Amino acid sequence: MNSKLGLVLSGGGAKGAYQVGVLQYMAEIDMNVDAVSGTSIGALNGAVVSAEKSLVKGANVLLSIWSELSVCSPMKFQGLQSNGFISVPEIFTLLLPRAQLVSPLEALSKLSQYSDIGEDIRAWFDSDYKNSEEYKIKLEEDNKGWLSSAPSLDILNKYASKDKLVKGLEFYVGLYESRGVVADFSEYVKGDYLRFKDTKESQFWRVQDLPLEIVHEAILASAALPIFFNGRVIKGKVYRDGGVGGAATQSGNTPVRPLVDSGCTHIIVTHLNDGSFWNRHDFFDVNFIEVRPRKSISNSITDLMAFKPEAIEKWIDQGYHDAKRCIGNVRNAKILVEENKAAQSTIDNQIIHLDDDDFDVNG
Amino acid sequence: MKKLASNLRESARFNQQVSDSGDSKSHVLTQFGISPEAVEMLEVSQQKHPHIIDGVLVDLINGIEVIADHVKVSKSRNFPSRILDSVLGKSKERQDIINQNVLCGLEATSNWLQRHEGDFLEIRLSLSQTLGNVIKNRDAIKVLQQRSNSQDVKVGRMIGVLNEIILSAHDTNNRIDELNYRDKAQSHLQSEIDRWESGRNIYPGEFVQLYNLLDNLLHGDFGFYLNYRKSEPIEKERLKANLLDKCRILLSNRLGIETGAVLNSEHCWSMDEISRECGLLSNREKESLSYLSMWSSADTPMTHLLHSLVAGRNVVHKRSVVVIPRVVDRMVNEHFSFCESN
Repeated sequence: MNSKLGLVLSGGGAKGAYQVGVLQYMAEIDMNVDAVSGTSIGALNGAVVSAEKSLVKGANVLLSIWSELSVCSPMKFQGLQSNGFISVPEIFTLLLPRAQLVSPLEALSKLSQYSDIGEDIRAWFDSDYKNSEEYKIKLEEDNKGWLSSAPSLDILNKYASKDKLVKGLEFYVGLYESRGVVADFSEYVKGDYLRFKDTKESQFWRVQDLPLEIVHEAILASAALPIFFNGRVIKGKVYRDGGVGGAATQSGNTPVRPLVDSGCTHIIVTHLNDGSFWNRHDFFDVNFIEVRPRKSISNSITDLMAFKPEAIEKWIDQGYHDAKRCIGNVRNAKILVEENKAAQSTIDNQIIHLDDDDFDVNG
Repeated sequence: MKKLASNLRESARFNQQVSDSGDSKSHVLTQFGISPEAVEMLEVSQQKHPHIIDGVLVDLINGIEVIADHVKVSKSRNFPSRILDSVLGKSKERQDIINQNVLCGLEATSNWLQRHEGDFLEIRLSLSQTLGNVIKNRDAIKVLQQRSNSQDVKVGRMIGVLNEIILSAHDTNNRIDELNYRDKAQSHLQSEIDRWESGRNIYPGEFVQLYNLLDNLLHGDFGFYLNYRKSEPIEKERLKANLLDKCRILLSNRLGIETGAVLNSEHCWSMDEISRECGLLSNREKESLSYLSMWSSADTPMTHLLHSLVAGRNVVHKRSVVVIPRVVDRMVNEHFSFCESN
């Protein structure tokens, strides 16, 4: 049985810079992968690696992209001001209940300007309404987020065109079929934070199997964090960030399943959260090398959008050193084992040779 | 030595069992108490899924990273968060993952240690076997060394015998040569005597004929044997005595005197007579005899006399005489005098 190496790039917003560091180390040791799977920012990073067909080239391209992002944030706010943008931290300061500057009520009132959450709340409790055509039409219309996905699309067009992706490295993206902003958000909170009931599983699409016109849509949908980005309507359904699915077990945010199903024997998993609940022991017959942050990588929501030079530089460096430790240790041990096997094989052959050489002092 | 002996016993047992089972690796694994069926399944599994075996290694090393990550998060939680995590079950969930990885790591470590022990066992058995082979080889080398030493002695003896044979052959060859040359010398002497007796010694006068006989003998096999061969002096003396005897007999016959009387000093040749006989020689004969006796000197007076006479030099008083037996002895000694020193 031939071995197949897969790479999982999980979601985590701006912390995706960490993955660039991981890829830098992998490129440094000339490690290449056979398949890539990504969710959210991992889908965007993975798209570049897939399009380049080579991890070494992809790592270099990503480093230059992220260097650009650190000086020119891709998070462009849309809607509040028609003729300009405001920074992401400002958005959080204005809107999120977590921000200390505004009251939750004020934030909710501002939130309601951009999403008809009343309808979503009704659908949450009223299953008949939830399944009605009226609500489906509302869902299709209600996919507008606060941030524009145009910068992400620009990056995709520039570095991971549809043609290159279709011909590129085997690539999977994780998407979550939206049931409305509030429903998605509330289910995520129930699953990830409250542990009441996990969200339904994300879907994993093989990019090479998709019609050309929806290749980029699928990737953008995978990166469409509820509320912040537009949900993407694909074949009449709205899809959002795959990280929403399987929130409790992180199965959506850490899209391992498609690589396992595609026959990967070895999978490198990069985590962008401290203490991710994704569990390697949920899978059998596959070898996982998890790259987990040794020092805290920060689980602050604001860091999701912190495309700042100093943060990006820090995460890239952190990713590089964590990968060097996590992958390097396994690699070194593996080399020792293989050399040991080779030495043992040599000994075995030499003993067989000695036994079979018909040497006889009397003969 | 005790350890080595133990290893050898183990090696012997291993070799016996390997030859019984026909497969060393399977045998080693069965030594761990693993059933042959399980060993076969494991080998098939290893061939089909080599990465599963790698998984033990990866789980051990990478599992530590997972544990470290969760421990880090657990430590970082403040009191309210811990209460909340406990209520929501996150603490237990995190602890479960830690426990699972610890357990897996310990199992992997245990398996790894057992595998290492198995490897060590294989290495030790291989080492024992190799040591056994080394000892066997050393013994073989010792045997070969002894054989070689024995062969050396035999070869030494054979070389000695061969040298003796060579020396013996050389000696025999020398003796054969000696006999051959002596025989040739004897034949030569006899043929020259016969020639003189038959009258083919055509020079006028017995003095010149005697010289002619001796000169022919000197430059033939007889002369070579007496003057140049490293032969027994006694044999040379015998031949020389034989020559003298034959010369005396022949001269007695030719001069018409009793054979024994030729030894008396009363029979002489006068210088005048000798000079006259030389004068009868043709010029070519004179030149020839002069050339042949060129080696003579004052130390060889008889030969030198002839040399002078044939060269036309009148060096002696015509009335003086020389005693025939002394002339014969002297002339023979002049031609073959140095043979005794060889």
